[in-house]
Amino acid sequence: MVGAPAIRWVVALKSEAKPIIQKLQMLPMKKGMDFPIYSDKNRCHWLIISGVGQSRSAAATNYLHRESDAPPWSAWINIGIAGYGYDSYGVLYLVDKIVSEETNFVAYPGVALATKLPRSELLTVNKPRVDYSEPSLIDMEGYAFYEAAIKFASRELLLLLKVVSDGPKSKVKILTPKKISKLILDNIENILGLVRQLENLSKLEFDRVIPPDICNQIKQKWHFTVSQKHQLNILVRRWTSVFPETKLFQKIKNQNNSKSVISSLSKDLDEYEVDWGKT
Amino acid sequence: MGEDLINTIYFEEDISEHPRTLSILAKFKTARTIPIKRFGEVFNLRNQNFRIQKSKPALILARKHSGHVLQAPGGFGIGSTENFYFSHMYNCVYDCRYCFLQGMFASANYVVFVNFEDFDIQIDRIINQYPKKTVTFFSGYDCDSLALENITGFAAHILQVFRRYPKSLLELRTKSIQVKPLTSMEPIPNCVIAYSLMPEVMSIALDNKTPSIERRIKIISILARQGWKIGLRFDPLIHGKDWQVLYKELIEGVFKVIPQESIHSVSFGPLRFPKAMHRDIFRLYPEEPLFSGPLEQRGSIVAYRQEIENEMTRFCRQTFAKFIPDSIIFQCTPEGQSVGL
Repeated sequence: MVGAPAIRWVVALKSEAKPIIQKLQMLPMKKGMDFPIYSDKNRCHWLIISGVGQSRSAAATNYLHRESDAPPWSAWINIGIAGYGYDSYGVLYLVDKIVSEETNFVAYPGVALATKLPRSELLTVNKPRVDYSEPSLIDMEGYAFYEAAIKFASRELLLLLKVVSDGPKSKVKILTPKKISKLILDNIENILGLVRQLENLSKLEFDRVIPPDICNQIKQKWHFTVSQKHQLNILVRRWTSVFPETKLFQKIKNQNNSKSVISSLSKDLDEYEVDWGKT
Repeated sequence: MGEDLINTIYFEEDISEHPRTLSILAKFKTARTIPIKRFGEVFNLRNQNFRIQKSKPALILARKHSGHVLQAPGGFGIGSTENFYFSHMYNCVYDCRYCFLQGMFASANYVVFVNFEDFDIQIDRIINQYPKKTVTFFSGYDCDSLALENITGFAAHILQVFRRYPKSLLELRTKSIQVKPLTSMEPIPNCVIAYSLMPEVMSIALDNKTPSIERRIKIISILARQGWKIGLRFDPLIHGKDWQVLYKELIEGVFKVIPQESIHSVSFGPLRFPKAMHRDIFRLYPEEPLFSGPLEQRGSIVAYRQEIENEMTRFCRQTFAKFIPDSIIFQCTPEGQSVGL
């Protein structure tokens, strides 16, 4: 079982990814993959380098989901550089609205993270563009990333971050890989601050979605049907929220079969009076 | 509500110039404002995480296009045969673990409908449909009636509407102690300010982000002294250790400070969830002790075992009857009609 937290990064350029790979001490995964993939030693953070453009970003997101066995409590991050009409070279923005230039479709990533970062709309385009008249950040991946990642995670676990790299006064032509890495590196503390919040949310989701470990131990000792397994998961959740988990095995160890385990736990709960003064 | 608690406001472009939109936006100067076409494109999205959203909800300002006033569900009522409800808002600033709003909407964000006048028109139409009857309107079904009053001003608005219809009845259901619009006006005889109550220890465990029961009772007593009619709502009744002692103390405590003549009605009802809603709320909060009590599935409802339910309703009814006449005690029943006792 993949553990928690689970964070998945989708980044277009190697130069954008470099500071993150270094900071999180990620290493490249096996060679011969469709996209370069990196992971930290705990397999909590996985990062894929998608290349530029919407189709690559969508394909890489799907690929990373499969290759990293991303669980439902994974948080997904897209980070990269973007153009912007306002003079804010180097500023990190949190994206809270994405518009696809091609289709005019709109998406709304979640806004539940606590941050003082400036926020902006993002326009995702198909061709590089130096017309900065729109009041939006401009990139070439964001919308496609969102559309792919929302299939795997709730919007509260999707994060899009953009650092302004070009605009009317900062020409895109003079950008170099070194400058791009520096733009990300200069914002790395803010980025990791948000990532820590996402890690906590991912852990909370894990605890909410996955039944306590003890359920597996019980299922190994007695044979449960599929419907009994489901019943057991619910009963163990209810039981452990009011009795100490350490006493659960003690309680049921003398039961003969799955039916009597279920019946024993049900009986406890049926007779239980919540002590509201102690909850 | 502090400005820092709302840092994102979505607003429908269509109502961007509406005076109430402007007035609400002016109260959140540092919030990020995001234009949208229709509130549903944010509120009804799939793949939203209610529990995470609830920790930092956004505000959505919208226009309600239809269904401003709806027939109240069976089991709702405080004496009238014609019962309706309206909601100027979806979702609640509070986070009560038994509340059906946790399983009602995909989103935990607050939607505020700014076109109050369209509610007025519907209310007027319904009242005129029943010229010889007392029609009761409930506010606070999909939200708390007063909790966001300092932002929306809805209660202040709707109370003036009901001043014009003395034969109709309005219930404002709340747990809020934001009662400035009430204390700053003459009481309206056909309006009932209905407070939800439960023993303090249960409320501490279950009524997250709400004012304490003690503070609610203090406010009820102020409103009663001022001349407002009070509704006391013990719904849902919560089971647990020493529940009889706790409910007895609560009920006796309330009637000690609220004069009988101020009480319009008392209603109470057992804890109950439609089956699917119980499943959804349990999935959201599987660690919640409320769901570890002696609950069972009866038909399409999840509730305390029948004998517990009967014992609790019998006990509370008898305790209420020591202080007020049967004619103003109402039991909300899970399966259907409210029962005037």
